[in-house]
Amino acid sequence: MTVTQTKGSAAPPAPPAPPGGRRRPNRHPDNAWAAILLAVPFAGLVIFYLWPLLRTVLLSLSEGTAFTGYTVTGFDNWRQLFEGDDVWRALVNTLVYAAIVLLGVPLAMVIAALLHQKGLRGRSFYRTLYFVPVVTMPVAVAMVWRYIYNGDFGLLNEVLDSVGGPTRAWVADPDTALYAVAVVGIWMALGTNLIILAAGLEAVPETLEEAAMLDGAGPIRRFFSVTVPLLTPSIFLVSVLSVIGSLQMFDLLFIMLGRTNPALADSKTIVYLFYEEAFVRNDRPLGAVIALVTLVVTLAVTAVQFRLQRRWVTYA
Amino acid sequence: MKSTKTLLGLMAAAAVLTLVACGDNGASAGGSDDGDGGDSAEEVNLTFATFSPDQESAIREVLDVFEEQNPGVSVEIQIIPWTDYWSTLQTSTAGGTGPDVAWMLGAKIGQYIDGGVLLPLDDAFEESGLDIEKYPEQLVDLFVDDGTTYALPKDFDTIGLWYNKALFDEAGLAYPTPDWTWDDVITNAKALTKPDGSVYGIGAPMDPQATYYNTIYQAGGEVISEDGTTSGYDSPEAIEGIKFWTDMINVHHVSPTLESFADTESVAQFMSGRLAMLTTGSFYAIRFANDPYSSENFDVTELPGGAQEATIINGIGNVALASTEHPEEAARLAVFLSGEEASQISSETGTVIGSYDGTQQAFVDAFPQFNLQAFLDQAENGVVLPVSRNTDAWASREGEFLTPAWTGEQTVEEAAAGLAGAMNEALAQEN
Repeated sequence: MTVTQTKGSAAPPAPPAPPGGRRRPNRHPDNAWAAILLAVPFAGLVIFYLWPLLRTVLLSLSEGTAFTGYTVTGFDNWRQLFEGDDVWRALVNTLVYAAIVLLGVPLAMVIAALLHQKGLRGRSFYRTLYFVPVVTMPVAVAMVWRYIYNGDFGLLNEVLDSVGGPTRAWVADPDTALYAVAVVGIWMALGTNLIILAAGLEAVPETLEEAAMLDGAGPIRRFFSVTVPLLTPSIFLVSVLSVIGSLQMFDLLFIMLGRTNPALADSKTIVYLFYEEAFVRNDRPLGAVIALVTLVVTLAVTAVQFRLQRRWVTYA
Repeated sequence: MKSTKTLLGLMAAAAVLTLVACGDNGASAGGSDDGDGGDSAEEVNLTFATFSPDQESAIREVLDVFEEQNPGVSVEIQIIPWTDYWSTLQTSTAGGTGPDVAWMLGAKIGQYIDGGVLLPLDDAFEESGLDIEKYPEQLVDLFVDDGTTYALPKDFDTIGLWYNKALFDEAGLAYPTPDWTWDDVITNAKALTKPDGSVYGIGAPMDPQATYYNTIYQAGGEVISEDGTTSGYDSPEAIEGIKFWTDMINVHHVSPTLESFADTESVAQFMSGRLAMLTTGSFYAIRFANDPYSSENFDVTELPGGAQEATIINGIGNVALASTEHPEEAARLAVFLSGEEASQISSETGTVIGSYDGTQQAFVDAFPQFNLQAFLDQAENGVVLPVSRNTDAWASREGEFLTPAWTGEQTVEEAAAGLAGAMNEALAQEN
């Protein structure tokens, strides 16, 4: 009833109220409330997202310093950024990092399926265990992994040494640093991914599993033919979140590599580059360009993921 | 996703802080208006921003003395972590919401002077009765522009040669002396290095202030030309100064590699007995003194000389921001914080060397187990940490360009030439 009325009042092109004339009485006091309640989040959107975005665009076209003020001059910063190698290398590093962290999704699926097994004892204990890295400060996580990866005294090298494996300075070696950090990224994201996938698993109807069992499907076959297809919406969500998170990676790299690391030049991500330009070299306009590049890349990658989902995601 | 949440959290926190801050100011301002109706002395609250939690108690002590001498003025310390300090100070100052008085470094002050956001301290300095001759001259110059003083150094630090006596005893070698040369360092480092990698003769981290700046000036080179317009990295002397350190790793094999220092800080390696020598600053005296192993085994002497004697000298200044509502009190506080009493208190704590001549004996006495006099004796050969108007623009490139020289992928000549080019480009932009 209310809905039809609302539609009815909105449908005819409302003539602008004549100035000074008697306004049409508002027949729907709820509308006023709706407008007020909508205005709050809308104001938030404008103040915290649209306005800063506009300012960032303007800043990216400006020259100046914080004290002299910034004046819009044109596309010099964009040209400067794209003529150098730094941004390309950082983009490649960021995408490589995101791709590796994406490998954590199948891993999370396997663990989620194992935890979902009937009759598993101590399930909440394991879930808590896997969730701990999520609620731990990234700085603390990074510090601990720095010790594990330490080339001279690290735990990882001790273990590898005892089994005759290769040892090296994992986060100080340009060949391995980015991968070593990505492993920590996977580990940190595992908890969140598990929770989402576990919820998806709960939603898989048991009757389907049972039917497949009656048809003679073993556990592996059931997992791939019944569970995974029904889980694809959750997998998709987890993948999108994972990739967006990885594209913004900064803290782990900043703490684990430090400032005088020989591997730094080959491992910088796009947000790291942003930090360097905007906050170390105080070049805010160039920083704004990098921030916008990050935004565009994130949008593009996410759009690709949404396009691809039509091919593999099944909504039951 | 996560960063959005963090951002929102930060904004909420900032909003709360702003509210709290406003509430505070409003309350006290109102209070003084009502209460002291006829009194001419108005309550003045100043905020003072620093980046060192280690020095908080010493600073509070200094501030208590200041408050005692200036009735009606109270000062609040605002400690901003180093990683946020400069961006916070810059943005808040540009936005007119900065602190009244703040710590400043020579490498940063150029932009603030150019921006016109600092109060001249000349009048307040004159009023204080302090003697400019009693400050290390090189540091005073750092904070003076066109004859106007914008800050006074509150302390200074120099670099010395720290060594581990136990490792020297074990190798049967005599301790380093002030008249050591570069060759003495190399010969001894070789004798101290153990083939199994458990002990290295010296640490050669890529640390401008503690290592290669010193040797560049000792070799007769310079990091930046005196007029601040060109890079000195491509001179043969500068290359020689850098080579001293890269050779320790790649030719003499008496220092751990750069990878090793990335994993474990050089100071941490030194404190765990893995390095027999390390050149680093007076600012580590307190850390070494607080560590039982280091306190018992470490000592320090002057840096070995190259073609000439030189040590990098640096210090923190106190500035008053022009946006303050109480310029007179702020300027007085900035001067007081670098004055004789403040200097004396800083020295006594052993955290830093007070800058005012005559107060420094207290620093030497703070930790009698170390020969801290070495840091004072070197001050006359002090070369102030090289800066330009926008130091960060080129200093942040040093690591990037010199890394391949440290790892042996490039010769020092190649790396230095690349760095000189990038630095000249950055300098051209600021002039």
